[in-house]
Amino acid sequence: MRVEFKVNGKRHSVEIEAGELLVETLRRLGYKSVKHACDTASCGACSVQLDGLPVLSCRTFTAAVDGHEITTVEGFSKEGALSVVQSALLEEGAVQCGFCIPGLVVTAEALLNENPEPTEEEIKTYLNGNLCRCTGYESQTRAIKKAAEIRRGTLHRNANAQGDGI
Amino acid sequence: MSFTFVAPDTEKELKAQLSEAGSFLMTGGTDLLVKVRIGKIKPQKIVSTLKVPTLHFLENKVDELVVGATISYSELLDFKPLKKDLPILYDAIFTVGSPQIRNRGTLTGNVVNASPAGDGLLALYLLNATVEVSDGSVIPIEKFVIGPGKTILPEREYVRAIHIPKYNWNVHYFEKVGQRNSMTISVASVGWLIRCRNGAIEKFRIAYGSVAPTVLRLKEIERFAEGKTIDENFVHTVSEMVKKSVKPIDDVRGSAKYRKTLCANLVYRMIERRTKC
Repeated sequence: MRVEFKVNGKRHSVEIEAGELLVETLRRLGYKSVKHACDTASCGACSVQLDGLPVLSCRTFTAAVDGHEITTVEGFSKEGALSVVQSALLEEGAVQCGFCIPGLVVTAEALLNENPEPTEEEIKTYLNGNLCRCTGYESQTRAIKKAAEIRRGTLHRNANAQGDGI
Repeated sequence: MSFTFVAPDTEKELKAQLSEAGSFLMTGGTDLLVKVRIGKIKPQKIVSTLKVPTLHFLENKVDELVVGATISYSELLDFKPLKKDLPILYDAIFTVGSPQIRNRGTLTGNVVNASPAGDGLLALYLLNATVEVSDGSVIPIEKFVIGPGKTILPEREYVRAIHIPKYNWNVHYFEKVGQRNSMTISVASVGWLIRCRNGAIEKFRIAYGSVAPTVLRLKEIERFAEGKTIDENFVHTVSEMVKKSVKPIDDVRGSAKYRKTLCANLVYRMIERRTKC
């Protein structure tokens, strides 16, 4: 069957099997940031935004997104520059092996759109479907809090922080 | 895995699509997709309900909330009156999966999937919800679900909506015990509702999940509780009765013995939380 949908603003018209998973189609189209990891709806590494809301692409049939809009982590970096959330994750040392990060960014971006001023508890609750086995979540929670502040304009980024810290 | 996928946009077309053998209904697909992928279900056709606009509605009446079949958990949680009018349902569905799952999963899916571990289902049992089927029948939830994964939904029919009666409960409590905090299927879950009068219990409802083939309302305990005051003695007696009533099994998430003890102990939350009438 043929379906049409947008990924990061780009229109795709693809021939798919009815049982094909969104994660499979996206990776076939070259969006390799979307990880096909646990395949049991446990880890969140395959998270993408569907019309702005995070969903698990390993638990979504591609057939069901016909006519909809998908955003993967690639969609958040504009002209090669990292998004505020991505930069904050780097600055706070919240990325170690990096495997969970695309899914985490996609979810965190949705959180900040929905709730521009989340408490630490709200951040943890919203991210409870995104597993990270490296960081213990402390640095990630800190980074998302910082990103929220920058996005609200209450904290200005230290331009050198990224280069010096790592 | 060769099957077709259709997404009709009217209820008439939905019904026509369902009339062919081997058709399976899908809304969010968070449960069905798993079963298809592991080969437990071999559909010839998957019929998505998501594009039928007449199934996507919330109707907030004075005495009940009507939740259309394709309303996701997230949409329901975002619906402001829910927390005020039906807080037990709010608390229960907030524990479902993660935001990613709640953005796709639906209350109706939870009902039709009929898992004894269904978090939303437990709240619906407590609230005496009814299920509106496409043939016009309205069936109490306890009659609709008949076993693990089994309902009396007739073939070629679909659930239109869930009707949830409102009632002014003084106390509501829901707790899910899992192996981790999120993205987990419960080892056991419990909920109760209490209506007080003159310092004593006027009405009491209590239900457990994951400890029997379906969610279990403990009606003997509910009758026993009427007119009682909530003190240590009461909690102790209820706890003993719970131990005798639940019928858990051993499975990958916990042993029957552990679950029985857990269920009995959960009643003591009433003391911990200083629940009073």
